[in-house]
Amino acid sequence: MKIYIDNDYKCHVTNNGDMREFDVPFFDGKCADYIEGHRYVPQNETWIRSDRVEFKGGMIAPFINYAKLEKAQLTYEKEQAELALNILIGNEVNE
Amino acid sequence: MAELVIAEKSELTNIANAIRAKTETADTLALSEMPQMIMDIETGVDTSDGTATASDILSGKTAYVDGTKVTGNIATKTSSDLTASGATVSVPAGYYSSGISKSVATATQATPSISVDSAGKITASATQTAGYVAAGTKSATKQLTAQAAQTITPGTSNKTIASGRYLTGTQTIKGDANLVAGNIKSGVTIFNVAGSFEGEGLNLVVVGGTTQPTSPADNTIWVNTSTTINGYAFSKDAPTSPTSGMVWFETNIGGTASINVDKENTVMIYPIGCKQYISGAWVLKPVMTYQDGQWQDWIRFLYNYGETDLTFSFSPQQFANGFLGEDYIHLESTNKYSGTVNMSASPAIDLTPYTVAKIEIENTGGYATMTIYLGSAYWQYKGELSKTTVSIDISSLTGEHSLSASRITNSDSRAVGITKIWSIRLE
Repeated sequence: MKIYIDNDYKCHVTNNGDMREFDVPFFDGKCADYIEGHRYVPQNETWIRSDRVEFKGGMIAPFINYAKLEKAQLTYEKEQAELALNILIGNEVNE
Repeated sequence: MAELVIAEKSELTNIANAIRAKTETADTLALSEMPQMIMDIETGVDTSDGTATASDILSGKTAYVDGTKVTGNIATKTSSDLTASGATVSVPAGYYSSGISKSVATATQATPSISVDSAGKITASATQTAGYVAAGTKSATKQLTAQAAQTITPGTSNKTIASGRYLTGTQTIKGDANLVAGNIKSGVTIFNVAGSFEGEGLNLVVVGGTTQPTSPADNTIWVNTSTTINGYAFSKDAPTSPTSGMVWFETNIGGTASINVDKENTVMIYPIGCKQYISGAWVLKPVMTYQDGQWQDWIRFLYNYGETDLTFSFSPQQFANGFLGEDYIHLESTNKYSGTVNMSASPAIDLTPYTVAKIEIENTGGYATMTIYLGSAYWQYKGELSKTTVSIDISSLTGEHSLSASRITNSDSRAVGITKIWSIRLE
């Protein structure tokens, strides 16, 4: 999935113009809240955390409590499943 | 010729009767006897039955006793004859014509004085002058310094109750059931109780068991183990002659746990890991230290050069292999074009105390994709990699998460290769 990272390596689903674009299969099927709660450090790059610990890429790690991200993803997946079911049975879908 | 006198009969009878009355007889009296009988009649008081003696009769007075005149010798006395000496009043023998009295010297009842000696003996003393003391009460009091009830708690210095005091209440010197030898450091005596508590010799205590201790003392090191701990050592290298159950706390300046082991000075140690000698081998054990009111994890090695407390499983696909080697986790592709092997570890690990996972990893043999997963965080690398340590930010991961890894050889590899994972640790 195509994502964008800012200069703090935080992921975004849209580009504000200053971000770099990467294709990261790890985020395939993930909702925006889930994606935007992670950092992605590309290979051969290094992110330095506020406590001076260095993280070499490629690394993906949440920076928001993962429990929240997981909950958001579960909600998203449930909505997607309901949407798919409605489509399957021919229900009208309101956008 | 004498004249004949004629008396009448009645007159003679009267005379006879009178004689008989006097003589107390009833005999017939001859006229001729009458004159003599009359002569014999005693006249005056009959004193024959008198018993008085001179000592019964006042002096100067006489009496006739049995016809004898007795002169009395009883002296007549007066009150002036009485003498008083002390408590004795002497009354000389004699006759006292009326009630007599004698005044004696009087004296005032003395008031006692009270003293208390150093032994606590109380003495009441009064000096009484001689004389009659009238009835009455004299009293004296002395107020002793009183000490009311109090509770004294022993401390670091002596506490005293002053002498010479009268205790008006119970004096309670507190005791403490904890004043036993086991609660006192060995070599120290408190109130005659010699201590026997040896302690750990250092400013820490090491405990085992699989249940985290409740209410631990500061600097308690808890080794999560079901094997009885038999001694422990802090060292960089493994003890050379360990006994079964011995715990080796590996130390290194990079350790995140820091413990001041000296009670007075500062002697810091930085343990980075914990292993226990079980069945002839060192086994990694989770360990925590209780400091500043909370448990702190040490660096936890999930895998360290062949040692682990996790169970690893491998799922190699065609042209791949995976196993725990003697010194590293071995993930291998046996075909230079393909080969995927997945690895997983159990049980899941609580990542809450940790902020970074560090992996010593190496990859040889081409363009393989190596991935280390911890929950939703992962590190991935494509290509050859010399032995290095990489890190994963796990600071936002809480709760239990699984460790897994994979090596994927894709068509670009064109070489068989091995990924070696030497160690995985959590800090």
